[in-house]
Formats: sequence, C-alpha cells, structure tokens
Amino acid sequence: MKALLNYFTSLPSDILLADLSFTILAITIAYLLTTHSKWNWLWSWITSTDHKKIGIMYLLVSFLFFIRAGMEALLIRMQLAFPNNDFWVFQGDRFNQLTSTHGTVMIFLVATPLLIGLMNVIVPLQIGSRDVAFPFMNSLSLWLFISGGILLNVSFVAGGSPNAGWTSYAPLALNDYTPGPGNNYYPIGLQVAGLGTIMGGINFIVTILKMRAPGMRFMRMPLSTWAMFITSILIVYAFSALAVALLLLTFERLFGTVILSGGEGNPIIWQHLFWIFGHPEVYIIALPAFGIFSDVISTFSKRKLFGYPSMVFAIILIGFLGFMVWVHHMFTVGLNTNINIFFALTTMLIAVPTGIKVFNWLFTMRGGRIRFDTPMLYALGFIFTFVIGGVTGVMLSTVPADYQYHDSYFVVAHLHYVIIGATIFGVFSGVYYWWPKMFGKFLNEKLGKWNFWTFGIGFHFTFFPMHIMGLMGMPRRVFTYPEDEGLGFLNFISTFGAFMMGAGILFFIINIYLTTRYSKKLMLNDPWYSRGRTLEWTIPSPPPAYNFARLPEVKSREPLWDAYEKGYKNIDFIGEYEDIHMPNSTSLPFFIGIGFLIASFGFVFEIWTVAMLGMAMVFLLLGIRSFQQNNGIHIPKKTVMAEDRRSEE
Amino acid sequence: MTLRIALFVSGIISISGCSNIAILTPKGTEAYSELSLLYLSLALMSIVLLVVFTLFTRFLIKYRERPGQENDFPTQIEGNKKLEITWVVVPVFILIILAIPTFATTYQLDHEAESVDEPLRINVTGKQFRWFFYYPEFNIMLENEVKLPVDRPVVFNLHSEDVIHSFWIPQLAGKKDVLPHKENKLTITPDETGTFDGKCAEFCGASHAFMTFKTTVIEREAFKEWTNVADKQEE
Repeated sequence: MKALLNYFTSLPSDILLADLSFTILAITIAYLLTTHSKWNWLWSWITSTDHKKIGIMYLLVSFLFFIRAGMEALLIRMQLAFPNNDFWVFQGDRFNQLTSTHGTVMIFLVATPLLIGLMNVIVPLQIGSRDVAFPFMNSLSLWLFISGGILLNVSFVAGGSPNAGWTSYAPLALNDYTPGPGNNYYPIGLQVAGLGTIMGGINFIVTILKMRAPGMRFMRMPLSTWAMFITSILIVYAFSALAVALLLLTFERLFGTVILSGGEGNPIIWQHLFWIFGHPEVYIIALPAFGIFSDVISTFSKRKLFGYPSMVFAIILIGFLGFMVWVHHMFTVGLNTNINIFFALTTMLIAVPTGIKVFNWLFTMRGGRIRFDTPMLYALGFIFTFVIGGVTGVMLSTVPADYQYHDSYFVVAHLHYVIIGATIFGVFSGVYYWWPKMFGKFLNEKLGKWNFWTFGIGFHFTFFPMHIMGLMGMPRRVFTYPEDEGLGFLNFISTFGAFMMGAGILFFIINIYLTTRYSKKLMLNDPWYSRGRTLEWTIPSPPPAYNFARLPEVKSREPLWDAYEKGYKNIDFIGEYEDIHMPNSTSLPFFIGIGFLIASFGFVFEIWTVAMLGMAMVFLLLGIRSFQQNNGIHIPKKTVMAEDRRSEE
Repeated sequence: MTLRIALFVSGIISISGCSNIAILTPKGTEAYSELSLLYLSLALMSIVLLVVFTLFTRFLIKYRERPGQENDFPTQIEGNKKLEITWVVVPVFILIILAIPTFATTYQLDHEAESVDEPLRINVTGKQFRWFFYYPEFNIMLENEVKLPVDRPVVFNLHSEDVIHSFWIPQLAGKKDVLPHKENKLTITPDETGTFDGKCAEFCGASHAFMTFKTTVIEREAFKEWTNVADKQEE
C-alpha cells in the first residue's frame, strides 16, 4: 500500500492529473450508465453493424480525441506564449511528447476518422443503399481504429508518449536515441488503426461500385460520394505504404534490423515511405471535405453545382497528382536537383485542379439566393481560409524559397490553414448539415454562429502570425525561443487565438447538449427549407435501420430537386414492399479489437507471452467468424409498410 | 472581413517591425536570390488572392437571400465551358511564370559548390545539441560559433554524428539537412558584415531548441588576422 502511495506521489503532476481526471470520468460514466440502466443500450451500439450507428461512433470517438489533442495544443501554446517561458512541466522532452502526440492524434485519430465517420453515415444514403457492402468489416474497422487510438492515448500515462515528432524520423525514432516503450507506441498503434482504415477504404470502394440504386450512374453520383470514392482508392494505396514503413520501424526497434540506420541502412528510406503515404493523406482528409462543401454550397445557394463534370475531373486529377508530389516535403534533404525540380513542377500543377474547384464553388453561388446557415458559414470560411493555405502552398513549391520556409513556422501556418481550413471546417459544415438527418433534430443556429465566429476568428489569430514567425526564422518544434529575436508578441497573439478556438469548441459542445436535451423532433424528410437535392433527403430523419423502405429510382443528378420542380412531394420509389434482409449485430469485431489491444501492449513493452496471447485471441476469433452460419435478419414486410406509411403522414 | 484581415496583417507587420524579419533582410547572395523568388511568388499569388476574394465578396453581397426571398428559387444552370477553360489556362500561365525562375535558381544554388572559385571550406559536424566548425585550411576548430570573411564564398561540408539535423542561417541562406553517413554541401556568400543567428531546423531531440550557433561575418583583413592568431594559439 505504501509502495503504491509512493509510486503515485513520485509521478509528475501532469500525469497524475490525467490519471485522476480519467478515473473520475470513467466512474461517472459507469455510474450514469448503471443508474439509467443503459448498459444494454451501450452494448447494442457496440455490437451494431448499422453503418449509421458505426459512423456516429466514429464521429464521437474521434471528437473525444480531438478534445484531447486540442488540449495539447493549448498546453503547447501556453509554453510558447512568452520568450524563455517555463510553463508547468512542458519543456524539452515533455514538450516534444506534446507536439508529437498532438500531430499524430490530430492526423490519424481525428481528421481521418472524423471524415470516415461522416461518410459512413452519408454515402450509403446518398447512393440509395441499405448498408455498406461489408457491414462486419465496417464494425471491425471502427474497433481497430479505437484500439489503435486507445494505445496512442494511453502512452501518455504508461511508459511515455512518442517524442520523435509526428513524422517520427529515423534515426531519432530508433532505439539508440529514444529507447523505451514511448516510441514503440507510434508504429504499433498506427499499424492497428491503419489496418482498420485500409479495410474502411476497401469497404467504401466496393459499396460505391456495387450498391448504387437503380439508375444512379457514375456521373449522377453526388460530389460527397465521388470524393469518398477517390479518397478510398487513395487510402488503399497510401495506407499500404504507411503499413510497410511502420513495419520497418517496428522491426528496427524491436528486433534490431538495420534498414533505417547505420552505414548499411539509410534513414531516408523512412522519409520516402512516410511521405509517399503522407502527402496522399493530405488529400485523403481534404477530398471528402471538398465533397461536403460542394453539396453544402449548392444547397444553400439554391443553385445547381457549377461545372459538375469538371468538379469530378478535378477530384480524380488531385487524387492522381497527390501521389507524385511527396518529395516536396524533402527538398532540403540534398537529393538530386532534377528530382527536386520534378516534384516542384507536380506540386505547382496540383494548384490547377484545386483552382478549378474554387472557381466552380464561387460560380455556384453566383446567381443564387445565398443563405447563411451554419453549414454554409463553415463552407464560406473554408473558401477564405483554404485559398490562403493554397497560395502559401504554391509559394512552398518554389524550391529555393522552400530552403528558407522548410521546417519553419511558415510551414506550420500553411499546414494548419490547409488541414483545419478544409478538414475541420468541412466536418463542422457536414455535421451541422447532416445533423438533422442523423438525429432528427436541428442544432441550434444561434449557438452555431457563435461556434463558427469564435472558432474561425480564433483560427486566424492563431495561425496567421505563424507565417511571419517563420519568416523571422523560428524553426518548428522548439519549446522555447530567446527574447532578443522579437518573437514574443506574435507568439502571444497566437496563444490568445488558440484559446478563442477552444471557446468555439465549447459552444459546439453546449450546442449539442442543449439541442439533444431540449429541442423537439423534426419528423421531416427534408428539413433544410424543403429543397434538398440528393437521395438522403428523400427518407425519414433519422432514417430507419434499412434506410429505404423501397428502392429509389434515380433519373437525374439531383432526383429530389427535379421531383420538386415537377411539383411532386418526393421521388419515385420502384418495386414492391418486401421483407428486408439486414446484417446481424455481432460482438466479434469488438473482441478482435480487444485482442489487438492486448497484443499491442505485449509488443510495445516487449513481453512476448502477452503479444502471443493477444494474437492468438485475434486468430481464434477470426476462426470463429469463418465457421459462423450468419445469415442476418429479416425485417418483415408488414413492419416496413407500417413505418413507411407513418413517415409519409 | 477581407478588409479587417488586411488591416490586421499590416498591423502585425508594422508592430513587429520589418527589420526583425530575418528572411526579408538577407545579408548573403543565396538568401537574396531565395528572397526574390519569395517576392515573385507572393506577387503572383496576390493576383490570385485578389481575384478570388473580389469575386467572393461580390457574389456574397449581390446574391444573398434577402427577406421575402425564402421561397425564391433561381434558374438552374449546368456550367459554362468558356469560363471553365479560362480558369484552367490562366493558372497554368501563372505557374509557368513562376516555374522558370524556380528551376533556374534551383540549379544555380544546388551546383554552386562545384562552380565557385577558391571557396573557404568549413567542415560542419552536428551532434546532439552542438555544432562543430572545422577549418581544414587553418586547422581551427570552433564550437557553436563560426567566423566568416565577407564576400568570399564558403562551402560548408555538412555531416552529422547522430540524428538528422538541419543547418540554417536565415539571413545568409536557406537550410540544408545534416545527415549521418552522407555529406551534404551548402554554399554561402555573405555580402555584409555582422552577427547572424544560426539554428538547427530539423527536430533532433530534447534540446533541439538550444542547438543554435552564432555566425560572425567580418572584413577579409580581420579574418586573415584572426586565422593567423588562432593558428598560433593552436601551436
């Protein structure tokens, strides 16, 4: 007992606080679940194979990670608020842990899964399908993502977080320079989460190829669906490259290979593989957001999307070029000049399809009747922000000037303009837009506007000054800076902006709480002033488990809008009512996730029996799955008909 | 909104004072040619920003839904071929204007080490979290500081003893990575005397922030004198 007490009093205060707050949170949730007898309800979500529920869980969990990594951002900004600052414990190595996990969590556990979650809900609805192609694999994707996420998050209190940067460059990330479990969490946690993402990508590809409603040709698909289709192809290629890189790093750290180190190996291999993944990743988290903006801008301008074919073409081109620009992250490595030149050219070229998209969005608004509801505000905020980020992107592509910008705060500014500007604004836009579809209730508009303006203005306060800090010569990932370089003022503004962004997120949380608790159910198929365009607005909000009682027939790009134009209340549904075949719920993916979690802890701490045990559990469960006779359930025709009639009234 | 941001930007720049912005006040040939590309790309991109933000503001004001238009649905159009071709062709032209000097400067900077006459050679070793400068010509070793003569090209042979670092003197030239097991070269030609900050730009561990050095550029005579004195001290 005394030893235990000694152990806890010897912990640094930040870890103690994290432990404490986590314990309190866990006990509170368990208490609430018990008093409201909600454990069964929770289990029904955990075992669900419904794409909507899986999508919502994706959104919820990645939002929790967003809050965690956001708090890290605030800690980073507090340490950097003043020159020569000594804030709490966050100097040197502890600061590096903060920046490393902030980046890793934001990219892998926030940006990517937020969009995958949203698209999980929306894509099947937009293509008129009852679920995704592989519901079991969908659930498995979710649980692998959560396993990997837990692993990376727990590292903070168990053994230390990764501290070699979110890019985890060798040789710094190798045993010689960062021994201990900390940097084992990075390759192993990401491997598990990445496996889930690859499965998700495959799932979307097959779903979109094979499960579209009758009449939905490729050139009739909504832009969100198109974007997710191309994104999924990028995921399969890019995350495979990442998986290879992570394997090399794992082998190097755990088994002493010398691929990335020593005179025989080469640390540049890691950089190439990482960025062959890393740059397409930027488009993996930007393209779905582009899709969302296309749908939102068209809806709230009351105009058809301008230049649909060129929008589709631009997405494909961006996806293709996205694989040919990775070396622009490595201009200063000292590669051959011709290589640098080639990648500068491809990088510049990618501005062309991006420009096509921006102008098409602008001209969609032209001649419309623009409404300023929160989803649209986020879309407009995106155009403003993303154009600035895109412009600095072109500036970064000029190799000699990049010798100056590279690894300075200029890059930090650029990447946040692009990633927050596209992905985070996109997710907010999409969440406000589809919230009534997902939950049958609007989010509050007034709070939504507070949310947008504080977050948006705070964003520019935080990141605009960083451009200048970079030009003043402030390198990335420094935990302090001297007084005489005149960086204090700009850094202080940046910290102020970060807190403003934090306030914006608080408004969002309050909004969700208040509307969930107090606002009325809508009972409308098409809640945004009854002028939806695509299939998701033809069914009840929230949709029934099977989405479509009868299959819709698609005759044009915007079936619902065209039906309204002809004076109908809804589109035509073809076919008779029938028993609907739906997948079973299953607990196997959840337990496979736990198996991976156990195995991963074994690998991280190099306790091989635990690792073997975890892997044995995984393979056992896979075996069980292979021999299961699982034919799904049938929802009887009568129920479907009754529900459908009720929704029409 | 655009105006507010513009005011905000100019406010920040004027408060922090342009003289503080290292990259905008180059003291070396290389930093100078890098800066001219910064200005060129910034100028070209300002055109883009201007066009986009003008259209953006204009459309938002002109086509906003006014009270009473809630049930007003405008005519729907598919697109416009001419316009769509315009915003493919014009950006391509802008990019060509940017690409040509980019290519030329890149070749020039990357091959400087082989082409300059009688450069001063300095072997730089990065080692967590210190910089070592060795002048083979004079057999002088300095730690965390380097002295350079003005107007004479200097070729730095960069080498790391542990992890990857990056060698950066913002006012004199852009950075170059310092790798283990591979030598990189960086050429710098200071054209003014003074003291300049040097830093490690590639994240290299716990005290990355402290891996800095001082660069002093002095007159050639003074440099000669210093090498003589330092040489004798060594003996």
